[in-house]
Amino acid sequence: MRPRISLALALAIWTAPLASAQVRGVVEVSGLAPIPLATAPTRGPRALALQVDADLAGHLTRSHWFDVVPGAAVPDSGPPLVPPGVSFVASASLAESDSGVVLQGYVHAADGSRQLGREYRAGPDEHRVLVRRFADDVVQTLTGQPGIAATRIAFVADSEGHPAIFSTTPDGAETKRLVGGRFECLFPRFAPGRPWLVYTAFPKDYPQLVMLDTSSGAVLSISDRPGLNSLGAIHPDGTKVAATLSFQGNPEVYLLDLAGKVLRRLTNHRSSDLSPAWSPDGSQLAFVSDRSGSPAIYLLDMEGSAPPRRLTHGFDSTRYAVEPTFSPRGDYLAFSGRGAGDMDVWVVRLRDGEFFRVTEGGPDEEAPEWAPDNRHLVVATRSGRNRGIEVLDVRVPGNRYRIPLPGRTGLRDPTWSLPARLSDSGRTP
Amino acid sequence: MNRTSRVPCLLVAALALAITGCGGRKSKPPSEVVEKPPAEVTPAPEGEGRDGPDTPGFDASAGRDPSVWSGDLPLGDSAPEIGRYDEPAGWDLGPDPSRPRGTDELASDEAQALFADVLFAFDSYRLSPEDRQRLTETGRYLRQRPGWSLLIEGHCDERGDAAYNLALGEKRALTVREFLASTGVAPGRLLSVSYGEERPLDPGLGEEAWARNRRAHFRVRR
Repeated sequence: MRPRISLALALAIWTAPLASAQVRGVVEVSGLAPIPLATAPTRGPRALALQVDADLAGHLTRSHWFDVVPGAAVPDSGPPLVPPGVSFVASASLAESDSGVVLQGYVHAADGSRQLGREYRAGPDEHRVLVRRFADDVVQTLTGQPGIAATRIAFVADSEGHPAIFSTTPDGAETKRLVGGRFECLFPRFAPGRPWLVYTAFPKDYPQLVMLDTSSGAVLSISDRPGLNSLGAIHPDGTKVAATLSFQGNPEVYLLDLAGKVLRRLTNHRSSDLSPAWSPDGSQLAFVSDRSGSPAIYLLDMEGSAPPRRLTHGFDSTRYAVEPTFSPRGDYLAFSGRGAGDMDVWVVRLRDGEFFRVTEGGPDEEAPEWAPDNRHLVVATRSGRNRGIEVLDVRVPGNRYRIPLPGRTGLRDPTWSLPARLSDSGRTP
Repeated sequence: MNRTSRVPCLLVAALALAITGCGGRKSKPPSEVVEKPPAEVTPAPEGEGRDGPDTPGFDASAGRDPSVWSGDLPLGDSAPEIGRYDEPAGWDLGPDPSRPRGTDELASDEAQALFADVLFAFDSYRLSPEDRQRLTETGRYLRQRPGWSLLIEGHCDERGDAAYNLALGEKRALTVREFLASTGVAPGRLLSVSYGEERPLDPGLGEEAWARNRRAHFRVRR
């Protein structure tokens, strides 16, 4: 049932683009209220079970779809007992075998009916991987949206004296270095739907456009022309990449194949043109240009020959607009913009051009990228020398958390992948 | 919305429009001057290891355009791996210890002045009239030494977007390169590169440090 738009809300929407907008979520009309969900203690070897309890509650809480309460009880036979006021119960049991671990995960509704029952298998000590998959299946089953616990976030952090590229899970539990150490590796971007990471590397002291296949470890040099070879974004079809090159005398956006051959020059202006970003169907390219005097975001239709049209306008925090990123469903574009002081994250709804401000004041929030659930953004935060990687919820601005990355410095430039495949999960018992 | 609530909505909107104006405020860069902190040494976290490939097998021949990048100037395939900015093997601006004292041209006051950093205003890649005057002399000096090549690095301060700064550093390097070429130096002897905000001269915070970092820096190969 559509809630009636209140006068106050209507006023806020009317005046938002003209005034210094307050921080508020991206308002969707339906399905806002968190679902009350209880978790039951995991059955299985005690130490592992406690870890599963903690992980499951954490993933479900951080999805922001649920009000998570502990304390459901699982009797020896029959479905779990649902506390009053709770709509669903998630429960799991864990067993170790010679070949690894097995997790059985369930969701029951308040009436005792089973909504989800699935078995997950992995190698020894990989129970935390299974819990992430189960948590995402809980989200998918109860909300219809993809979960984000089993995804990976790549980011830049200092390593051996240079910026290098790492990846982690949104809970920060599994962090590892992907590339880097002896020279700068910067500006990582995951390819949509593929385990590929395009980035900029300086092995010979100038910027080269490089791609890493994270599943095989193979590294491919795409372009090392004179000048810039940087800020690459792989096309959704996986055969092309847009990037900023300057070999013809000015930073411009080009379309290349993965062997580095120029397929098309996409911009032709004496300004700087950079930071290309693809819409999910590849039909549009957003990019940054300072052709109007300061950096703004433009949209280029890949079909036809119309010139790029400017999306962000020269007022307040959208005066300096950079780092565009399309949402997975293509309905929003997020970016970072600077107003009177710091950098903040903004979202524009593409169907009507409405702007929403997601962060305000305090530290800089930069370089946003969408999570696969079309709801969360990962951003780099900066306050003086302190840098961090945080996850924002565009619907509820207060739902933000920092990814724990202890000891890491120089944190910046995050990018979000789609979930990795798990070979043996998903069989219904 | 029914008709009776539409009017106050419009009135408040009109009022909001009048109060805030349409143009928006100019954004000023932060101008606080902060005392420079001591240089930080960051030890690598425990158990760093080498988890991933960091020596990619680059195919360096991809897409090189010889008309822009002279084949005589090996910043590509045969250049040694220059890992750190302060060890630019083969490209040096300082006095050469292998030469007899007092004979190294680059150590002279004249050369140090001609190859001093070009400094830029915030968010700008414009050359001042003084810059042009000095770079005209730099061009003359280079034309008198036809065997020399010049690498022009573009840099930015740490404020703003790192991607935009990479492009801005490139504009700074290209602007200097184009100007030197316009004074008659063969373009094939002039190389440019951008490091954006990645290799600051001064790691401090505050305008004094930032101003030193907004620069084009020269490296000479003789």
